[in-house]
Amino acid sequence: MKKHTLFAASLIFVAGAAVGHLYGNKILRNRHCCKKSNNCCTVNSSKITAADPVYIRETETNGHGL
Amino acid sequence: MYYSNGNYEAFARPQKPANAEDKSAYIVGSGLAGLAAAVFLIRDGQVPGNQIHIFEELALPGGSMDGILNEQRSYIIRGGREMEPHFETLWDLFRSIPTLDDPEVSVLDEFYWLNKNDPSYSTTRAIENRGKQITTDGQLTLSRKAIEEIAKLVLASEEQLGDVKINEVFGTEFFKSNFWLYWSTMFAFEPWASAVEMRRYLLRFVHHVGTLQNMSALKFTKFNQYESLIKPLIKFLENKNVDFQYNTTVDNIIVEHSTEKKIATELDLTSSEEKKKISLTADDLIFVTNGSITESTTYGDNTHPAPKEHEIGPSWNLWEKLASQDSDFGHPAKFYKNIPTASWVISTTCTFTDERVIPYIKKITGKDPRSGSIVTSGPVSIKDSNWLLGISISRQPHFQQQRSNELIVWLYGLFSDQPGNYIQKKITECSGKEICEEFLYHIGVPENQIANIAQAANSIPVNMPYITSYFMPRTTGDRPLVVPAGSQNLAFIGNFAETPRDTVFTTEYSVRTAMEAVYQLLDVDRGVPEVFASSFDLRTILNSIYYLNDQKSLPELPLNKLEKVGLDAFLKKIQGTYLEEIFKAANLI
Repeated sequence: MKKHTLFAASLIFVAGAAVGHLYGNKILRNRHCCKKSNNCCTVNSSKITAADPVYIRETETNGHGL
Repeated sequence: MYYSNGNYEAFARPQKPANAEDKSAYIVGSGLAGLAAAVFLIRDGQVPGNQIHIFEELALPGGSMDGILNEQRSYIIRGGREMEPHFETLWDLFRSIPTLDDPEVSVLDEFYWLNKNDPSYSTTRAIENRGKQITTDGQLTLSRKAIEEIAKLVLASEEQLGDVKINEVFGTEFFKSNFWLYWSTMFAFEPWASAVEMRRYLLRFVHHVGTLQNMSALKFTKFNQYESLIKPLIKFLENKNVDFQYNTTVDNIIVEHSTEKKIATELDLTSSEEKKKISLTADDLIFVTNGSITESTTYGDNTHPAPKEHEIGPSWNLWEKLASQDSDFGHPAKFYKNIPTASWVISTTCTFTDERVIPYIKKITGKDPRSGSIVTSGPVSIKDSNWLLGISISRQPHFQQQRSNELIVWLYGLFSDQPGNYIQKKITECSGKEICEEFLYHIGVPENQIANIAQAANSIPVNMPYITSYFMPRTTGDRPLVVPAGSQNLAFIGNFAETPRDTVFTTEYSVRTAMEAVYQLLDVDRGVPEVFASSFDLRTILNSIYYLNDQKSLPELPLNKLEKVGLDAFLKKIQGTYLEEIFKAANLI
């Protein structure tokens, strides 16, 4: 593969990934793996509760106490 | 001054700078930065040792690089240093420093051989439920969103980030990952710490992402750092007739300004309660350690907490006085004022002579602490500890004079605003015995034995009010440049001086700023080894992607349909090319 073709291929992959990411989140959310797998979606599916350890709960403070 | 890499510059010796024999040097602070500056002045600058003066406010040298057997208390270490092979200036320094035992063996030789024979490897990075390894230990458990947040932080510039805090750039998924647990406890990052410093760490240590779960990249000294690193430096410098002045505080440095030039003209100091002034010329080079993370430390004992009350130390006062003379000299208040109350301040050195604690340590670490080998390889974190207690057990003995029945365990708690899980007090209010009891509870010692074992141990808590100050949110200009613009004879050294790309709270940063200061003020014509350039290495970046995703290849990632199509097309395009080779080498395909 020629050098410039390779560079173009890399650009296409990056652009493709960005477009895919956008569509994946905005259009295809109901159809892809979000419903089936963990660690798949970019939506913030996790919440901090009182049951979480202190070091996680403290991430919601500015360091002046829970 | 210029940066370099590679053996050509590393092994070369610079020519003697012009008028080196006419120079005198005044170094404020005898921490690692100050001692390194003195060595570089002698070794690379050929300044006579007797023309170098080091002022130290305490009665002994070393600064934060401590380790002492206090006759009234016990063994005390306020912290421990984790080192790695690419601390380029640190090893450049210690290749030239003989060990105390054998003048033919350098400190670097000793360190290298030791870590070859006894490498670091942790089988347990985190525990919970009183001594049980967390079920996902060894995995980074980063979600896709969390990885995207890491990428976004890395791609931002320091100017864009400014005073932003870590918890302003990451979401809950990131903070719930093991990556954050490992990362924050290993480097002592609080959630309200500087995102700029976090970004620097991510880039600086990207080559270690794959070893974060086992600490195999870390290297450790033979004994505590005072004995293994500071004492050989002191002997080297004393042999060169360097003048050490202890119990001496530098109160102010007067800097005169003319057109585009700054010259330090007077040094005001107090030595044994006597005020003195030293007049300076352009041939007098001043190296100031501005600020300190261990100044104003207070000490408790087995039955008393370390006092909370403290004074602002001389290093901060001196920096304030300098900063009031010139805006290029930084903004010290950003670092030492308004440190959040929940931040880490307490560490504790526990000395056990009781054999009953050994099986619990063996069970957690898989290692016999009496074997003489590294035990914890950095910290073991207690995930469900309200104090986020970390445990570090170095090679034993950790002190040369330590007896064979003594075991030294170092503890620290990253959160100071919560009662413990067993001791219902904040860590700042606890005696050494109480902190030891909390530790014994978390490693699974039966409750009916805890008080007895803690009573038999000797645990010394220390309160270090500024220990997290390196990581306070800061922006460009808050730390002065090593040599501020126009400065003819004044440099800043240590972790509150600014050098690009490197990471504070490291021994390397201390030595790097010292080397850059000496090379600039003395015009030493040899390259300063650049910060290890792994973040510019495509192989390392690709490999980090593999490990951030818990060792998944690109096709194994949870991509949506369009991304999969894009990936398939990309993989097809690179078939048989160099790109395919390096993607394969990084396990990504």
